[in-house]
Amino acid sequence: MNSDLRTKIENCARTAEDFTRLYYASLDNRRHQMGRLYINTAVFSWNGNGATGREMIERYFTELPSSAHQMTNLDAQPIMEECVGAQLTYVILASGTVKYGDQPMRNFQQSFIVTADGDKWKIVSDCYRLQEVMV
Amino acid sequence: MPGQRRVLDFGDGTEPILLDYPDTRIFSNCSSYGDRVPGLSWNEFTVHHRGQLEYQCNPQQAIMEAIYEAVDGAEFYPVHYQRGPREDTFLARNCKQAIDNLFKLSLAISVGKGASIPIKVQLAVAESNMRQISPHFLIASVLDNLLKRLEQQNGVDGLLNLDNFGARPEFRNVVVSLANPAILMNVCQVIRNDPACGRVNGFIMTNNHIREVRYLNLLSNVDYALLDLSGNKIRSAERLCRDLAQFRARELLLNRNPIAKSNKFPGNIKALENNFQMVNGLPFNKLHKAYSPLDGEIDLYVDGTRIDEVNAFQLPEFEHSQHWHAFLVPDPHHEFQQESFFNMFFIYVDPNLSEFYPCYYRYDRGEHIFLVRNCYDQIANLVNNFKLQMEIPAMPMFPEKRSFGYYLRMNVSTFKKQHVVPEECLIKAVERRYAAQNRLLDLEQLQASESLRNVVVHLSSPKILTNVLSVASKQFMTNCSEIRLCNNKILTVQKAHILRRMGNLRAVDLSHNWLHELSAIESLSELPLKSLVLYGNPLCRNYCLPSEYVRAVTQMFPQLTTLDGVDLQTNPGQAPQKDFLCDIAAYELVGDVFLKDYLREFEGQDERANLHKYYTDDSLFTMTSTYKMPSHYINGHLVRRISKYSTHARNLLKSDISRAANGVHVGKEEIMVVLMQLPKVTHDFHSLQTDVMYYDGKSAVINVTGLLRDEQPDSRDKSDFFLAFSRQFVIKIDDEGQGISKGARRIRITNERFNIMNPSQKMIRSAFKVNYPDHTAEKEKDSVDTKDYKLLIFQEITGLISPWCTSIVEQADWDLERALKLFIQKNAANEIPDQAIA
Repeated sequence: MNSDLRTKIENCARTAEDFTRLYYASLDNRRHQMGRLYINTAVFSWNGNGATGREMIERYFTELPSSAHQMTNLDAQPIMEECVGAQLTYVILASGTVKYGDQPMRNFQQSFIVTADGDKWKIVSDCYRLQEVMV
Repeated sequence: MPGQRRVLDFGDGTEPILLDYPDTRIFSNCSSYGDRVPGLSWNEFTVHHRGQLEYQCNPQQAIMEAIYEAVDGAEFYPVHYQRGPREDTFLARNCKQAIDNLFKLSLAISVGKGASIPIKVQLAVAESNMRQISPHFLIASVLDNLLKRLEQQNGVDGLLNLDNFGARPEFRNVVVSLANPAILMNVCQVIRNDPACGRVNGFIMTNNHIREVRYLNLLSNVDYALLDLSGNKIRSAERLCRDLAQFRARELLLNRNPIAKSNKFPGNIKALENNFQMVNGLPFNKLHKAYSPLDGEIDLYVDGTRIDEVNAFQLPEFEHSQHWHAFLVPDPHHEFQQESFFNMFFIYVDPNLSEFYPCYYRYDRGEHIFLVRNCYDQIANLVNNFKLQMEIPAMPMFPEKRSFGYYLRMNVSTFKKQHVVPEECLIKAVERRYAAQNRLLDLEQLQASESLRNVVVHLSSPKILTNVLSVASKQFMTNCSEIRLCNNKILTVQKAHILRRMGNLRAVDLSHNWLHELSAIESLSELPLKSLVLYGNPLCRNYCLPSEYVRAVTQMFPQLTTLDGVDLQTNPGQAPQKDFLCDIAAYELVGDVFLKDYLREFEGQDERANLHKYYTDDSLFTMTSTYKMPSHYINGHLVRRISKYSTHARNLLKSDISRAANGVHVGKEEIMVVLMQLPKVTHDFHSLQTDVMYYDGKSAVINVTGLLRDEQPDSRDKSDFFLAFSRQFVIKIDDEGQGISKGARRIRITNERFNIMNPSQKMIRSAFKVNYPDHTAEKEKDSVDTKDYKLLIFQEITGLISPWCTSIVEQADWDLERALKLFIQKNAANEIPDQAIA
């Protein structure tokens, strides 16, 4: 592995850690601010239910029961081919357990495509899957 | 020699008839025989044809047909029929009914086309007795003989041959003709009462001048092999269908009958479809040629009155016409198929005017043609308000809006019995769509019904839809609990209150229609519906969030428990959906074009080696494992199984950033090494949940989760070992430099993550419960992309130019291996010219 790629991977890993911490903190405690984490045209899928655009995604979150996420596994890769314009883009893969309201604990997994937007990292797409059906 | 005392001895063992003419009165041209009584004695009949029938090929036959017609079905057996140059004579006895009927016609019969021929009758010319010639006895003995000698014909045996029955030598002194229904009845009765009847496997009744076969019903309700009625005079389809309603045979022959020459044949005997499998040597269904009055009956060049822009003022003349009117819409290049043509045409049909049912549509000589009747107001609207113009929306090839002018031919034909009545077809179509066992009325794509072959029922017209619902409602009342109306171009559902008669109706499926606003189905809200399906309607796009959509629908239908098949008890918009596509165009990527193909190839270790085609030297691959070992016991062998995966896995949370690059596999070679070390697996394709999060035609982001079975051979544990998995792909789609097959795509994976985890109990319970169609069986159904790809490969291997590639690959049914063998064969046989090679 060349050092250039190694550096990219390390930067990517650092971003992934910082970003996911911010993300789950917002999701569990500051839902109304979730929109800030997305670019304007972001695509969001929650167990196959889609929402497009920052505003819609934020509204979708506000309708979900309150949550407590515990991330246990994190992976990230830099995307070498530019997926969103020529910008630096990472794919972040997180998984762990979650408790919605007073429901039992479940496994979740989530994959993000994030891109540098000015000095912030913003989500291009966000795919969330719970392992079991929420009733 | 009438009038002279003489003895008639037939020399056949019967007693002679002594003609002594005790009563000299001869009746002619009168309608009563007064005080005389036609008893059992012989009577003499003289037919005064005066030689005027000599032009007929068989004057006796013509006279007998006229007499049978005149006696109107009464039994009548002329004996000793004598032809004469000016008059024919014969005797008959025991025929009071026939004599009465002849007198009713004043002793005149009409032969052929109206020639009236007088008959003279002299009653009781000879004493009769039992031992004299008896037609009944003769018939019975002839039939008895024939029943003992059943024949074989074209491999079918057990046939009773009554071909040209009256010409049998036994009948040389009596006239026996199956053309007389009474005689046919007598014959059928004799057959039925004969003990040998049970062995009869079919009837040959050819060449008997039969017009009517009503009495064959005496022999009905047996499954025969053949009913041969060729060479008779059967003319009426209606009578034939009625007469044979109970008669069943494998084959019916009607050759050389007037009925078979009619242009409505065999459509007009469709009622017998279930009685006979074959008619005139053809299977019934193949034989049925669609009838249309536009085939010869109506000539659109000359029939009716042309109405176009120029003479539109003449239209009111037809206001009260009940005849057919033709619409002729020129479309010289056949740009529009029937369906899209009517989709556009119905834009101009006014929903508030009468129902508009185009009939007998066809495209002929550059014109869309159809017939309508009883819709003057619609026609007037099209003529006066739209000036017989149809606007065609802009299309890629014609960026400007265009306008098609068309014209009418009014009163092209009167309405005839055989013509369609749209309302009746509609009733039939609806009736046939009901499934009693499910209490379901499935009107999906109603237009596709066989009964609507000649009628366009465009449900975008609310009145027509109301009509359909009203038919359904009247017909099925409380027996129907679900109506499916999918794929019917429905724009609005009005007057749904007519469905209230269906007291048990709980579910309505309106998916894939043209509903633009929820208000279009407001009238349904007065029904106590529990389930509604609106999926696939434009109105769904009016809502950005699923929850908004659900809220809007439940506001209108508060009692609803299921919407679009999703249980509303769960939180709105949060019920899990199997698949998510950010862009419909990405659909193929989760199917055979990429994802399913990738997973299939991943399964076996031999095919897995093929996966290297997806990776480049810059591809990145990582593995993670979130599989948690059961905490209460240590299972060494489980640990070994999982370690096959976890040995390649990483977790950024567990390691220092400086070691972040560990476990990131870069490039084709390195990735393939890891993939090949992973155990063999089988995916439960039914368990897959896919999310396509990004797609722009050049790249895509695909996530998949599901269940797999680890197929690692293990001698100690034979039970299935299931794992939940997820994979994320970032792929790049190359479509440049692919030469002829412009649609061909080459897919490269730039990033991939493979994660395994514990399956939930529910996943294990339903694992592999649904059979996923075997992809080998789907070979025939290559998508366009796959086909292009195959063509490309074939071209690369063979160096042939594209028409030759296509031709050979198509010959091989898109099986590349076969195509290559074919190529080698052709090449060896010098069948491939130099020009075929690029």
